[in-house]
Amino acid sequence: MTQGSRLYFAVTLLMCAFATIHCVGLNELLERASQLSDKLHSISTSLTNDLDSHFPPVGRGMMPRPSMCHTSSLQIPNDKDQALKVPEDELLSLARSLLLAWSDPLALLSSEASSLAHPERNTINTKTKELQDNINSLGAGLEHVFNKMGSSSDNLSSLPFYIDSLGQDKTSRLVNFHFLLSCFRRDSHKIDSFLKVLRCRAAKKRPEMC
Amino acid sequence: MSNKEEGVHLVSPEQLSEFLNGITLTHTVCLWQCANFGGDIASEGLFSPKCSTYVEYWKITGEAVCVISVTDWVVDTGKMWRDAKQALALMLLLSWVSHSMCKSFSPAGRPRLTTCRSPEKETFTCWWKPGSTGGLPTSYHLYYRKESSLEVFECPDYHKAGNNSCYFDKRHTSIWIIYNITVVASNALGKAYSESVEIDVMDIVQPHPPENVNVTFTQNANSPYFLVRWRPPRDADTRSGWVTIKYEVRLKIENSRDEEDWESYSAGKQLEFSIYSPQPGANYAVQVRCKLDQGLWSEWSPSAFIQIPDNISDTQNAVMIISVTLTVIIFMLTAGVLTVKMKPVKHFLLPPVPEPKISGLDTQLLKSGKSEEIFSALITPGYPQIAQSPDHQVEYLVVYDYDEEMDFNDKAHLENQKGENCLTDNARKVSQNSIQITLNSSQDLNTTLSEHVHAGTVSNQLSGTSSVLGEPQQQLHLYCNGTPVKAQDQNTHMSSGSQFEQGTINPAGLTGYVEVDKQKRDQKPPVEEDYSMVSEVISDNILVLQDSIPVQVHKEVKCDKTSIKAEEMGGGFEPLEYLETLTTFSSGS
Repeated sequence: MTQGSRLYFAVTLLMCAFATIHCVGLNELLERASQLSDKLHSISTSLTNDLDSHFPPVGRGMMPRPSMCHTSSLQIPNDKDQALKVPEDELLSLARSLLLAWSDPLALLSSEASSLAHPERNTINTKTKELQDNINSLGAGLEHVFNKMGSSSDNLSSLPFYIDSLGQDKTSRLVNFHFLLSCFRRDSHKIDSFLKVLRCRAAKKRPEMC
Repeated sequence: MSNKEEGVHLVSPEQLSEFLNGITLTHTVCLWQCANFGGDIASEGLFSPKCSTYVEYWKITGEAVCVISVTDWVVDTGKMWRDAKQALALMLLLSWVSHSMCKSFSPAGRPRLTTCRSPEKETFTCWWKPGSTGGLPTSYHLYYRKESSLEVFECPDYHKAGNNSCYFDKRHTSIWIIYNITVVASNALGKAYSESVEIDVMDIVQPHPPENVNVTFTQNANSPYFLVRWRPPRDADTRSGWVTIKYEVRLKIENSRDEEDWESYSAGKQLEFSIYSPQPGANYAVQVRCKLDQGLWSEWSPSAFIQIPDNISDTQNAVMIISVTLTVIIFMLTAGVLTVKMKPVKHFLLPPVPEPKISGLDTQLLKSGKSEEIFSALITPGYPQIAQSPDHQVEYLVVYDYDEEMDFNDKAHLENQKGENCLTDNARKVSQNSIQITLNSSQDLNTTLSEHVHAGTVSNQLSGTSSVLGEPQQQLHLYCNGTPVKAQDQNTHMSSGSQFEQGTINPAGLTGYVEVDKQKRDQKPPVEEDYSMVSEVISDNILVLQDSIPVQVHKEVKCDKTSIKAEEMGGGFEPLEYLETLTTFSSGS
């Protein structure tokens, strides 16, 4: 086979594959996305537990309140009935907006993790890097889902994150790290729930996907 | 008596006592709550026996404030006095009784919130543990506040989930919002506030155990197994995707008392699970539990029991074990025998194919393509091995190959030799040509030589595929006695008896050299004499044979006894000259 004919053959094969994949691809994509989001949430939970194992006794008044998370302005459904009424593309854009809002803060966490004043610092560092990787994969995957779903508009909410440092002293760095992580943990649970609702809705004929 | 109206009054904490002073004897007062700026419940309370509890929420105006709710406006002072006297009498009686019994009443002890759980991520329940009652009837109230709001609410349902519990139904449950919950215990002598607890519904999800766990045993012919089946917990909603259930099965043999003997298996999302090859005669206990997404595992379901019968495929197992062991033993024996007797077995199974070999020829050199080295390697002093007997006549074979690609200068030199060396030269040339043929067509060469030639054969033959070589120069031109002998495409070999010089060429292979052995001249060759192929006889030592199978090139060597005049190949044999001789030769034929 000459080079040209080989290339042609490969391209045809890919196109055929795409054509067949297109019909079922959304289900698989959403399945994979929800697996990733599940992993994201479980890593952040274990990271929180690692942090809590040796946390300085900080009074509750000193801890930042969850309403101070930078994603708290996003309007999300707060119970099952509300969530089930949200249309699919809006659910997807909520998930994507949340995901997008965390790429910068996770980078900050990742850079600060190596210098935390905590005995489990290495584990924390590794898991933070893992979080970053997973977020990037999930972001790419959700873009594919978005393209597959063929929505008309891409209405991602912007949730800017303006903080560039976690603090000056060890304790405040630790406290702010913990706070950011708790915000992220909650948001990862939101993303996970929305994607799983989406996955079930997309697989109407296959109840075993839910 | 102050003229207070019914309803809710907001009073600052400093004025509280003064306010209450004026009306408690004339009114029924329920002091709801006092709060400071942070929104924390802070103040003491006053509990009037005629109050009934009701829910009312209030707003902080920006100052510390007390909310007082006045429910009754007692107009009838006489009634009021009667009530007051009754209350006083009661109090005196109680205190006398308690005093006489050497018992002391105390304010309510502090309750403690123990746990909150959500079984399906849509509702949740909180439980508390009461503190000491202080000997007096104590009532408990649960108040909660949601994140980023200062409104305080009371528990919507105290009874659905049992004693000392609070059930939040769907309307009152929100997820991803922090609830700040406090329980207040109050008796006649005082109130006690529990420590407030902050919860988020996403962290407290723990489903009920799976239901209807049952086990059935199936005696399959080859693989007995028992099947565990269950139903999901009744309130989990798996069809909308709001929650995703995962199950886990564990089983143990009932005979052991040890708790550690449970074997756990993850069952994913399915509603059944098979356990293969159970122990015969054992009594198994099976339990199932589940969890929602990343939440907490449920409690283990109640055990389901199954008794495995005693006689399951024991014989089959035994037979299989025996046969497998035998096979393994046989295999090991064979391997042992093979390793010991490697060579003879190898010869038996794979008979060695005789390979033609030119001693001194290096196939690596061949690949490198430098023909000088190849041929110089061939010319070894001891080559070829010819038993020279002075009794025998000398046979000479002079071999030419007119393949154009071949560089004549590269051919081995044929020395000018007298009789004895003709043989060697020819042998060399034959070998060269065979090499050439090999170089040109390695795959297609047939060594019919090996078939035809054996000890005592007459003629020398080399087979080659002329089709591959494809050129007219494939013929080997053998010179004997100075005259070119044109070899032709033939399949048969000729032996014509005693006029021919007997020469044996034992080929050693495709790339082999042709060994020329001398033999007795009058020795008859033990081969067939087939003269049917002869088409013409040119001279007394040249036979023209028919071209029967064109694919094979035979080189027929007919040699004369007489001495030859060897030609120098090194000198460069001009093709033109040879062509002339060819033409003369062919014209003569």
